[in-house]
Amino acid sequence: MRPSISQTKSSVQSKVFVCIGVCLLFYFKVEAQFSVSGHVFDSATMEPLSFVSVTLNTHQDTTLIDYRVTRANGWFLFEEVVADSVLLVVDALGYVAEYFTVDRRRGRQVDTIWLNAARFDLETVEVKAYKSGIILNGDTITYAPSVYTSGREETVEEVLKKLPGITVEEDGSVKFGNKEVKELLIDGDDFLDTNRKGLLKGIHAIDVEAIEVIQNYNPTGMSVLSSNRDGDVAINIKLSDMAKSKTRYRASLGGGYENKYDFVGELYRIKQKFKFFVNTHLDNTGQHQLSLFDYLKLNGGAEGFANKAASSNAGAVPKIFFQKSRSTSVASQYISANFSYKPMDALKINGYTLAYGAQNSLQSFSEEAPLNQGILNTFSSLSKNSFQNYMGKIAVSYRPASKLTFDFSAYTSIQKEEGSVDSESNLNGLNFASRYRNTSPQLTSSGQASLQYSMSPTSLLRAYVQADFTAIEREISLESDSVLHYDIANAAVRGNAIGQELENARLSLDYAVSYIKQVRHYSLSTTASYQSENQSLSNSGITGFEVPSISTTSRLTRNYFLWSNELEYSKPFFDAGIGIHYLATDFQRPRSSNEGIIYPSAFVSVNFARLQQKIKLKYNEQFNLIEVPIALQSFELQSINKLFLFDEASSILLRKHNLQLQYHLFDAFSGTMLFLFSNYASGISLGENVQYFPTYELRSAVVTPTEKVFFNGAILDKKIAPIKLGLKSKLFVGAQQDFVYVFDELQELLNTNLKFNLAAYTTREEKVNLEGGVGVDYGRFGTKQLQATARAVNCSFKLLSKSEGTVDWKIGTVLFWEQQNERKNLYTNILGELRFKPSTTKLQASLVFNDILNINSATRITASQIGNNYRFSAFDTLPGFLLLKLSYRH
Amino acid sequence: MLLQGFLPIGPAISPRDSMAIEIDYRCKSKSGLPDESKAAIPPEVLLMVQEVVDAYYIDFKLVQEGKRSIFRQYEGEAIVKKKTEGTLKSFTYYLEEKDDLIYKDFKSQSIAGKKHKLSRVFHIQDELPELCWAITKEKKHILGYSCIKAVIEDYHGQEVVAWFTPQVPVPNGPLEFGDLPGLILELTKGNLVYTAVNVRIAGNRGLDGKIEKPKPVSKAISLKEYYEAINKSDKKFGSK
Repeated sequence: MRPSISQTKSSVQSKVFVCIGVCLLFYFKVEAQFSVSGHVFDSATMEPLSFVSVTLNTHQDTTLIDYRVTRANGWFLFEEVVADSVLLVVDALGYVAEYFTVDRRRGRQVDTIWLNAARFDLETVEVKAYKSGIILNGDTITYAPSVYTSGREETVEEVLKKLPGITVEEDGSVKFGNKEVKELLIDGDDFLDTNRKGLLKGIHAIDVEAIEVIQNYNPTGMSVLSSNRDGDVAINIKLSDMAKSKTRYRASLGGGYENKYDFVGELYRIKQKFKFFVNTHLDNTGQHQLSLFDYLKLNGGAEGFANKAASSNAGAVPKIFFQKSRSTSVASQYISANFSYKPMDALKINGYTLAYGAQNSLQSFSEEAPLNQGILNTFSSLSKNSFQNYMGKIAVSYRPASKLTFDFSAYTSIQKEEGSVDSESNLNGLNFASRYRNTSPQLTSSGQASLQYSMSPTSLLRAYVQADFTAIEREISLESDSVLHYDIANAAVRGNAIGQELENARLSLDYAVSYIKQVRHYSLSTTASYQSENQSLSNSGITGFEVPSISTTSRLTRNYFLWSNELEYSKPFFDAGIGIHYLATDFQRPRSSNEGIIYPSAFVSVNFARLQQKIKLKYNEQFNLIEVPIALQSFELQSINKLFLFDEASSILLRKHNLQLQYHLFDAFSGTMLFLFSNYASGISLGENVQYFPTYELRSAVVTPTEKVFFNGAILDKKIAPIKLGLKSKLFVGAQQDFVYVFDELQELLNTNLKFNLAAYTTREEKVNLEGGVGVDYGRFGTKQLQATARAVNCSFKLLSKSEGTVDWKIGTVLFWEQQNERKNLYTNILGELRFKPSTTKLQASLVFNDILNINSATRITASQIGNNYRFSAFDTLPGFLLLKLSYRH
Repeated sequence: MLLQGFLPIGPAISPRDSMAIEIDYRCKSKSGLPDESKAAIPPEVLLMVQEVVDAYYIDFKLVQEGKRSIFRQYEGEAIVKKKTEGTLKSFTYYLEEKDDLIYKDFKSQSIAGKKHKLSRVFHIQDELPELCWAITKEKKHILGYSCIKAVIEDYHGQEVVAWFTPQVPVPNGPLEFGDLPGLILELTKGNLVYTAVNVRIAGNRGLDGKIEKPKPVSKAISLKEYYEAINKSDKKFGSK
């Protein structure tokens, strides 16, 4: 039936209202949403671009909201965009990404988008990408070692040496950038204590899955005196699952000319609950397996070290013209065992034992006057320095709740020295610490209390308390794309008491405000601290030690954050503040040999520093490149006082645009950090803080620079020729103050030096490495006498066969020229190593002639000129050092 | 624009035509042996078999030059890698046939492929599928790339999970998958996980991969028809 035209009025009205309602709804819906569309074209070819990725992202953290992929006509359309303002990103491989802010209020619609070609010089550059070797996550940098290693590495030490930014010193200390790595962890466990050199040479390279560098690492326990904001660096060696299922060992046995022997045995198993590592080294080739730090711990601190220095000075050469000396036996025995057991998540037991003995015996020494005088003196001396050290430590850590931790440790050390008055000395102590940490939405609080009791050599009871409070951050949104971050208010109270009268108190307050606008981040922080210390230990001889201290710090920084938290471009913009520090030291320590010596010293510093650079990511819009310059240039001025009971050090670190002052004092016996004042107080940005590392093989930094750059997370490597050529340069300015015993008389040696080293190198497909360099040292040594040393030539070369599993051979010579006032010396050290490594077995054979690892103990031939006199000498620490070694690694 | 002034005069070439990208994917079984198989294997042998299965993987390579790409197994040095050292050398666990491949042409928006399944060779010829992925907020890193998780249902109604990175704006990935605002670095389909282990990006010198459209060896079928056939076969043989 045809509908009637004569509808009732009310019916028409109601339909009109419904229509209006629908229209309004539609209107409001349209008002709340808007559409974005456009065509993408190649700006050069003028053609539409298909398969271009078009994404809508949030402004704040560029979270992906929606996406399109353009089709043949380059068209894209987002129909219903709900947000008020979004970031439109149009990106395709080979083009520069385009970014647009699309705002509903402005009603902006993007129509035609022209993409420009990325500025790759595609005609001449072959770009090869590898998988990313570095992952950044907050303060942790994770290296994938396989990216940087060739697979020929045997030990974790060799792996670390290959990683950009990490250097391993001869004494086993590891540096990240210019900062010493304080802790080496195995799968997050620090059970190896300070037995670092053994660890580095003991853990097999093949077992290493990842290397993590943890910056701002704050270990628990007594080492809480470091600054909050510039914590220690730790390296965590993560082992592969394969390694955890096996017990690993290596045995190496060598014998050679003149009854030389060398035995190395390592055994370890790293599992989730139980870890152990046993390291044995017996040799008479003079290769000490201990670092200097270990040595100090084993030999009673700096005094033992001074004795060592004295014994070597005792053999100082008189003014003789021809000299030949050799030591026929330099033996060391070294056994250590470490274990860690975690029977349950809350409980951990660590153990550490170390036995060490060393012996130097029978040094033969002959000297001749000029032949026309016909005088020949020959004598042999028996220099016997035999001692044994035993050290043990056991630590139990119990964490009954996630917020509470108890630590208990006991340690003992016995040193026996043959022929000495103090034939036996003990060092024993107990340590107990408890920590509590609570985090609530409004306040984070933590407390710590510890007691340390040293039974010997002095009965000391040390107490330490600390309380930290951190107010929770608050955010206030100012505009849609900016946030005021009312950051952190941190208050800390610390107190320390030792023995009878030593008191230590510290109060600090941190406050920070930051302002985040899109990817830019401004922050202002202030730190104020007051510290007071007073110690007087009459029975142990410390009669006065006052450290009043006040410091304030203000910092203003600006950072960029791109992509995400993991890919962060942090660019400190400005950093300023002021610090004042005063230290007065006056103490004595009675000893049987030097009763009543008093060392007054004062230390005043005004700090003027800038925050240490971390790894920066540079985002280059043109190239779509992210660069990771890890290496930092640095200048270092350091003053170290080695005292009997304590070591103290102050340093000024001047990195590129970065100056930092530090002072620390630690108990040389137990290695416990007693007092540390590390203060980057103030600094001024010295300019644009952007470092650029070219991709060519040109090296110009102190630390091995990276030759790789990041391309969207992958590493690019430019190969311009099979032969690599480059330059390395190094500049070092240093000052060191040492107290040493020379013939029972304490002498103060003040060493200052300035070194510059420039080396050129070439590599041809890893087969041939040639390296030569020049260095200049300027030094002022010891007894108020100005002396200069110049090292003109420092050449070495080594030849390596490329094919793995065949024969590696290295030969090299190092030539030194040195001038000390009137004395001119020419040294040459000869090094060599031949290693046969069958590819099918784990058994290796090597023929070592001389010590390639430690050039100071190599055969040295010296020609010297003193005025009109000439001297020729040969010093052979390891005469006829020819060793055949067999090594088996499982 | 300033740069264009320095470019050599001549026919303009799209940078995309001169770019090449090569990704190595490692394909592994997600869950190892099916439970039925485990039950059939004696316990003393099971461990060894499991080790072989866990260690078994196949390396694939996705090569895209200009507007064409091919996804196939390695040719040359290692086609199939099996770590059978010291265990059951005779045991084989097939994931894919060695000459399976997927060819994509982004210019003609077509896809072609060769698939072996149950002694049959399927030749696939179809349009490039437009895939409606659901983007999630989950993120993770693969090879240092920040990746976002996206999910979709395949023709079986089975969930396919892709982790793609907007840092490499190439809408491509393993098998027939892609169409995301970034390269897929990990794809989980059924029991198989394809994970990128290496990414190379090259200029106009190109890469080693040769991209040729596969020649038909049987009657061409569409992707949907292929999956229907597989589904039917799977049901017939009682597996997924």
